[in-house]
Amino acid sequence: MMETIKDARIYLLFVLLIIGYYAYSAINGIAFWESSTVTRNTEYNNNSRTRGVHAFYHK
Amino acid sequence: MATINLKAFPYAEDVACPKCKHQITLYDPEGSEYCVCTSCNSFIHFTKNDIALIQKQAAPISQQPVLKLGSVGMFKGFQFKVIGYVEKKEQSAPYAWREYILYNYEQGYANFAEYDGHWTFVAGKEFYPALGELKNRGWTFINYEENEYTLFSKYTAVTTALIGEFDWDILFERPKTTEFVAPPQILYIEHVPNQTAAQFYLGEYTEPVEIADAFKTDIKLFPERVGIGSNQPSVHAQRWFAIYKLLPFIVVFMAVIGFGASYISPQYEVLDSYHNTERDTAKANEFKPYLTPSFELQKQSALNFKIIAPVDNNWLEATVVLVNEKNNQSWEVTESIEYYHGYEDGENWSEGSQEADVLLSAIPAGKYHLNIYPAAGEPTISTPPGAAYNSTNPYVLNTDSITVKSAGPTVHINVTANPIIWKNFWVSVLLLCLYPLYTWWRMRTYEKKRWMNSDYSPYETDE
Repeated sequence: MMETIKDARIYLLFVLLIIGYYAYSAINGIAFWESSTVTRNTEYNNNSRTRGVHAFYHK
Repeated sequence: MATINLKAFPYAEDVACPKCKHQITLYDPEGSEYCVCTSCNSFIHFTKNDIALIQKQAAPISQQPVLKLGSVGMFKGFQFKVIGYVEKKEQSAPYAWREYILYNYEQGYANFAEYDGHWTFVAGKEFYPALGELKNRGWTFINYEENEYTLFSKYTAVTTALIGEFDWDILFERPKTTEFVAPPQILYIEHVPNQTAAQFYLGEYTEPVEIADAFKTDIKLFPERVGIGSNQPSVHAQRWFAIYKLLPFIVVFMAVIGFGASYISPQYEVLDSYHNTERDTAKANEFKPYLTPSFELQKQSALNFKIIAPVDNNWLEATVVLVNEKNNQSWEVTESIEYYHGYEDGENWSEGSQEADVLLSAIPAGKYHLNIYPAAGEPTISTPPGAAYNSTNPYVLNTDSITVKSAGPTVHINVTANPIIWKNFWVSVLLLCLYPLYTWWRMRTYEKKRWMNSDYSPYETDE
């Protein structure tokens, strides 16, 4: 088993990173792919950035 | 026969070459029946009466041996003395290799075979007793000690030059050899014509530095490695098989983390809103916007909106704005719902759906409501002239333009916090598979290169 772990050590580092972020995302409600129709308006509290696929407009 | 079952190497003896009288040192004088004069290259046979007869003139060696005759080294737990050096080639091909005959006073002979800088330690049943149980069945594979060895090559070996001492007539023998590989191991079957049983030998790929260390030789003298050896171990294969073993456990571990996270942050409904849309008569296809009741998120969460509208041969578009009531931060989503069906050419058909899903990521904790701006197409259902609008009949007749307008469909919006995000799981699994796929590809490329030297390659030769 130790030999297997030794041979796969590069991959296991990669696995730790992915599983770590997966766990963090699962607990903090982060979706890797938000729906593409979502436009985030961050125009609040003097912040004027807009993020998303559509230009934000407020009806 | 080599002298065996001793507790130490026998004393070396010098004998005079019957042709040139040069003194030849024999390291196993009792066991060696043949030797080569290092001065005149006579291949000498010692008869039963210890009379030295010149049997043939051997060709001079073309390369100086890396391991000197008489040098001693501890290798694989055995003490070996180099007593011979042989240059060989395939009878019908130009491939040539070198063998260093090793003598151990307990077990007998073994050898190092070197081809293009690739070294293999080869020994027979004296070192590996299980080899004695193998039979040559002429198959393309052999199972030996949990490994499957695949046929790699067949050839007849010819000795072209040699120095040192031997216990058999190596210069004249033409063994038909078959090689089976399971890197780093290799199995040789040697069948000498006119001898009944084939002999099995097991080889193991050996790094030159191990040999140099064992025999106290300068590593710089060793020939440079060229290409891939027939039994050279592949680091890519080692990585691939290690990953292949671990991958199922890793995927299960991920599933456990996913279920654990859904236990820590369980999914719950934050809003379930039904609203009968009311047409804005001033604008074509638009309805009056409306607000939903407020809801609160206790912690940062993903939100899943399920928008359901019972449209029938019609469409609905809803712009849904999630608004944080504390700071007006907002997320806007525009989703179209279309559902059409009919009967055509004797078949029922339908397209679209009456619902749509939207996933929002990492919505901070806070109090929220939704602003909804619906729009929809003209309904295809008409109502009798003069019919009044009410909750059971949401259709009204505009008598001026003789067109039918409706109150529009009911919009049902269900919002769930902490939904199980399967896309995260599958994306992670996909990412976890990228490196194994790369390793598998490297292993395959490596193996294809290895098998290019074989007539029995399992890979397509035109690739």
